[in-house]
This record gives sequence, structure tokens and C-alpha cells, in this order.
Amino acid sequence: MDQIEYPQPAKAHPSKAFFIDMLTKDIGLSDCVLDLVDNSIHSLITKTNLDVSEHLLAGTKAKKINALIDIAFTPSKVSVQDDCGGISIDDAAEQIFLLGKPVEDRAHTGLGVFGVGMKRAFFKIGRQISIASHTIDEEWKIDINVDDWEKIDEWNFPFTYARKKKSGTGGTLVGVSKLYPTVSEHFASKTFKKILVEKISRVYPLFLKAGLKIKVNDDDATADIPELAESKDLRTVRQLIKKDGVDILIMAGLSPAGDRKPRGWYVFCNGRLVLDADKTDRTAWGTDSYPAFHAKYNHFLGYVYFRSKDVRKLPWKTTKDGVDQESPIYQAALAEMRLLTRPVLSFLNDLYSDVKEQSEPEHALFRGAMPIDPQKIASRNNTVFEAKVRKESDDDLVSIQYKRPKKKIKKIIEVLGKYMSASRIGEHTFDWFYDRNCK
Amino acid sequence: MAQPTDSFKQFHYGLRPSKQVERKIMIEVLHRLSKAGYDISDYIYLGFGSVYYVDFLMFHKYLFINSMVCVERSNVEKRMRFNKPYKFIKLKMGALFNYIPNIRRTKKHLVWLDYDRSLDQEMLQDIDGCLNRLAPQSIFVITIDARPKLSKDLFEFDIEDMAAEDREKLTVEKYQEWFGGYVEEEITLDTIARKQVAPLFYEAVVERIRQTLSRRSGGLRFSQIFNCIYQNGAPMFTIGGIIGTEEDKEALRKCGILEHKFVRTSSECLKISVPPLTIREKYWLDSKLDDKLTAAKLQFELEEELLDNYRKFYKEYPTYMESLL
Repeated sequence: MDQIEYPQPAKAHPSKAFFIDMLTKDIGLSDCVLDLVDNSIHSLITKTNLDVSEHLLAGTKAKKINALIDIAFTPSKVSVQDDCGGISIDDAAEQIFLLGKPVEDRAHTGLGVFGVGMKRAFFKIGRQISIASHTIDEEWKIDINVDDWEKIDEWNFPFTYARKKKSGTGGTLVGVSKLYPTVSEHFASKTFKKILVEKISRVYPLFLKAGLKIKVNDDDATADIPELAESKDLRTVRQLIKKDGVDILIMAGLSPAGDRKPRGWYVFCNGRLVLDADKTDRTAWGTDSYPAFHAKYNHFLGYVYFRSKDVRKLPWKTTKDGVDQESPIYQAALAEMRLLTRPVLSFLNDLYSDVKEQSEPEHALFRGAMPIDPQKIASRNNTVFEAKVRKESDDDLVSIQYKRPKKKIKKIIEVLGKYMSASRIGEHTFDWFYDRNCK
Repeated sequence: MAQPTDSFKQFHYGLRPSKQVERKIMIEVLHRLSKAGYDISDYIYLGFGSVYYVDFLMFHKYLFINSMVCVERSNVEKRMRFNKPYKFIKLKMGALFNYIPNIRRTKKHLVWLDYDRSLDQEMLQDIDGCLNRLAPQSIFVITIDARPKLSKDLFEFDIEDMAAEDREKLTVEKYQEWFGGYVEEEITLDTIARKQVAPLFYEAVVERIRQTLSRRSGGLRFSQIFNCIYQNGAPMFTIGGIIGTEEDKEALRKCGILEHKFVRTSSECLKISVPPLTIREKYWLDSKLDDKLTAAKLQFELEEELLDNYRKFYKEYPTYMESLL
């Protein structure tokens, strides 16, 4: 066969349209704003060596942080301004704007992993972008007009200015205008601010508790972390596993009787929430012979905190709104999550058993438990879930035996609309009378 | 949640000949593992001793294991404590799933989950939990009732009250839900029409083990050594093996253990069936037994098949005598 000679190797260069229009489809608007917040927090972590997860595990308090991330939006523009230390001219020139992060930082438990979040965020939001930053001894600014940038071949952003300048603190301001119409609509909506504040409160509770302030159009986010329920007879499971340079802390138990929200699993990477009240197969529900989430598990509450200075080992997804389920670290965590929480689910099965009288001791135990901040449990030694249920002894119970016509039993089953054995019908009708007349 | 069926109330565990043969087979094979470098006497034994603790007695006496944990779910704590034959046995009252989080990842275990009910979802979770925790070179064995039978405690109503046809339908429905993800063939009424469904349970258990180990790091796999079935009363089915790496498997191969007459490494199972014999018959047979002995040469009636079975397990055959203590 004749060999065809090609003059050049096959082309595989990236396209700007892909970054501007396509990659941005994988992420929602509020998550994009959170990407900008991640960026600010990452600066703070690299400047101050802040490690909220380490403090969580040790039960110590992080040195009080005095930093503010200020998010402001109108239907025509959005800005995220921080005083988290700023970005040096060198870092801006060599690293920050690379699409994809080639350099691996193994020195901090940071939130910057893939080198895509900030760029994807501003491309998603609008077509006029400005990034200005200053450290204690220099300042710089880059303006990007997306329409113009899309037309040129170069893959870089020229500095508007970059110069030496002394300053008391460092900080960064990302601003986007010429918003896309759909983005503008979201920013005009009355609920968007509320949604964003609530989301930030859930995603960064450890940072907020350490002193970081995050404002959205002047409203403060406040740490929102559901409490567990404990008493001396009802104890939460706590296990710390160290695997391949990653610390995995698992805690699970019950949410307090007064907590009406259906819970599930809360998963964090380096202190940042990536799964929020998860009730899906991502946290083992309905897989590997484990039960699917069900209303009777509404009070199930579990936490997983992954921590590593080698951020690529953590099970993030680029959008940070899920987990990389295939990751060996996540698989190891899942296996533990499954085996550690069977006693919790078993307790909930007993608590909501169909035979009401039998579950009264479980209810008494559950009602008697007090809310506790999961941070207080995080620094304990490893323990397993314990529910010391005081069952009534046989001495307190009397058995009743009597005969009734089969026909009547059948009729009762019909009226109940579900099958019950004769002895269950006896118990059921007894309870029915007692509940109405004796309580 | 399934409760134990309290079969110990019906049988004395030491007096079931096939079960006793099975225990002795396990001991014999586990002894041979020393050739591959396994020191079973250093293992922790985890099992369901019941009030008789037969497996605990035998594994202490014949495998020299001194570290043992007995898990008991029935509400018989006083009886369990009263009957505990050795001080070193740690008794853990409650379901196995409460104990699994306490299994130490660094200690080698011999685990025998000797259930008295048919395979269900909870057992698959027990398998998953144990195989996630057990240290490499641990030995894991599970025994289950091979009949397609739903445990009545799984339901709020008495399934014994149901019409046979409805119960079968419910069984198929539950089996599809529980095992559908583990077995290739569809589970139908025909599947459960058989007296025993050991092949179905085998496939589900092996696949559950494979899935759990494949997600653990360290290249662990299950090297099966036991697969047997016996019947006295209920057909009971056992599968067991070693959790180890490819090198561990190679070591087993090299020491010849995989060719041992009681070892089964595939889905083909060892059938344990021993004839009921008088003591005089047993001693007579033992003194004459070789490969050439046929039923025709016996001084008493015994079918050829039963003679063959005896020949296979004569060393493990238990002798019972009444004694006045």
C-alpha cells in the first residue's frame, strides 16, 4: 500500500470557544460565584497557612482570621473583593491565568486544585472582565474583553498595569460586566441573594467559624452546620483513617429530634463542602446491598472530612459540587461509611418500627438526646455508634391470648388495607384503644 | 431486621455429624496452611459460638488459637456467660454489624460466620463489612442455609401464614432485589422451585466478596479453599478462603494445598454426607477400609454410595456415646 505522507502532525490545539462557551455549561451560576470565593480563600490559605481541618481534628482553635470576602452584584455587574493577601505579579504572570494547573502545590491544604475555577467563572458570567490585585509591595491589573480576546491567536492576557507599590494588606478584586442575559436575570431575582448567602453558609462553615467574613450585597453569611444528637446512652461514631497522605474523618449519628430537615451525608474536602445532605448512591445509599434513603432515615446525619496538602489526592470534581466516586481514597471512605453506619440505620429501623409499643424505649432515648456541635465530636478518640436502649423486661409485660372468628379477622384486614397476622391485629387494636382512651 | 432463628434450641451443635465433619475438615486444611507460612495459632477467631461454643472449643484445642471473640445476637446473655468455656473468649452481645467496626485492621483473623438462616441482604452487608476490615492473609468462612427461604423476621407479618404461591412470589421479588445485582441469570419462580439454591447463593457471595476486595487497595483477592454442602435436616452451604495478594495465592499453589482432597477452589462443591453407623460398624469399617473395599464385602447392609461417603470422611467421622458425668 502507498504510504500517504502528511506534512505536519495532526492538530490538537485547544480552542478558545471551548473555554468560553462549552466548559461553562457544566456549572451553575451560584457555583461559579463560589469558585471565585474558593479563589480568595485559597489565597488566604497560602498566605496564612490556615488549616481549618487540622484544627477540627485536633480540637484546637485556628488563630482568629481577620479577612473579608465581599460579593456585590446588580443586574449589570458582579464583583468579588477580598483582603486575603493578594496575588504577586510573578504568580499572575506565570500561574494564575493558566487554563489548567500544571504546578502541584503540596505545601497547603488549599482549595485550588485544577486551575480552572476562576477562569470558568468569569467566562460564564460575562464578556468584560477585570482582575486587580495588590500585595504588600506591588499591584497589578488585567482587563479582558472577551470579544476581542476570542479573535486573536495568543493565549495570554496583557497587564493593564503592574508596578511596585507599598500597601498595608493585600487583596484582590474580580469584576465582571457585560453580563449574559440569563446571568443578569438571576442577579435581578429577589431570591438569588438569599440562595447565595445560604449556600455560602453551608459550604464554608469551618472558615466562617475561624473568623472569615463573607458578605453578599452587605448580608453576612453565618456558619450553618447541622448538629448531632447525643446523651450518655446515645453516642456518635467517630473514626479517623489515614490513607496515602489523606486524613479521613468520619462522624455519623442522629440529628436532634427537633430538627425537621431530612439530613444525609455532608462531605468536605479541606474544609470546603462538596456534598450537601446527600441521600444518593454517591454516599452509598441503595448500593452494595445497603438500603436506599427513606423517610425513616431523615434523622441520619453523617460527616466526612477529607484533608490533605496534596490536594489532587482528594476526591474533588472540578465543579466542587460532587465527588470523584472512582477515586481510591473515596472508595476507602465509602467502605468505612457503610460499615460504621449500619448500627445507626438499625437504630432508626427500630425507632420507626411498625410495632409502635416496641419502639417506645428507642423514642425515649432519642428524645432525651441533646444537640451537640459536630466540632466537639471531631477531636475525640475513635468510637463506634452506641445506643443503650433500656428495653422493658418481660416482668413488665403481660401476654394476652383470646379467640375471635376468622371472618372478623378477615374483615379487619380489609378495613386496614394491609396484611397483618392475627396476633399483630390483636396488638394493633389494643394500641388503638389505648392511644384514644388512656393516654 | 432479621433475628436469629435460635436453632441451638433445637439441636445440640456438637451432635450434628455433618457439621462435626465440616469442622474437622476445616481444622485439617487450616493445619496444612502452615506449609505456606500461615501460623493460625496467632490468629484471632471471630465466630458465633452459641451456648455450646463447639467451634471455640475445637479451634482452641486443635488450632491452638488463644484469642477469640464470640458474637451473640440472641437475648441469652446469662446463658452465654455461664457456658463460656474459657476466660480468654471475649463475648460481644448484639448483632455482628455492631462488632464489625471494632475489627482491628492490622490483626489477622479467622472468621466463621456460621449462620442458621438463608442468604439475605444483611449477610451481604456483613460480608462487605468484614472483607473491608480484615487484614491480608485473614481467613473468611461463611455458612448459610441453602434453601430458598425468607427469614420470617424480615417482615411485620407472619410469612408462614401466606399461601405457598404468594410466599414464593415474595421470595422471587426479594431475591431479585437482593441478589439481582450479583448474579448473571434472572431469578424466577423456577430458580426457587429447587430444594436448595446453593449455586445462586454461591454466585452472590463470591461476587459480593469480589466487589468489596477489588475496591480495597493492595491488590487483594479471595483465594477460595472451602466450598461444601451438607445435609442433616437443612442443607447447609459453606464457602471460605483467604484474603491475600497474588503472591499469597502463588504461595498456596506452591505448597500444594489447593490440591488437597477437601479443598475446592471453584463453584464445584464438596458434598459432605456421612452414613449413620453404629460404633461397632464404624470400627469394623475402619479396620478393613481401603480403596478396594466394596459394599458386597461388608458383613452388614450399606449402600455403595454411603460406603464411598464414609471412605471419604472416615477420619472426621464423629463417635457419640452417652456418658454419665
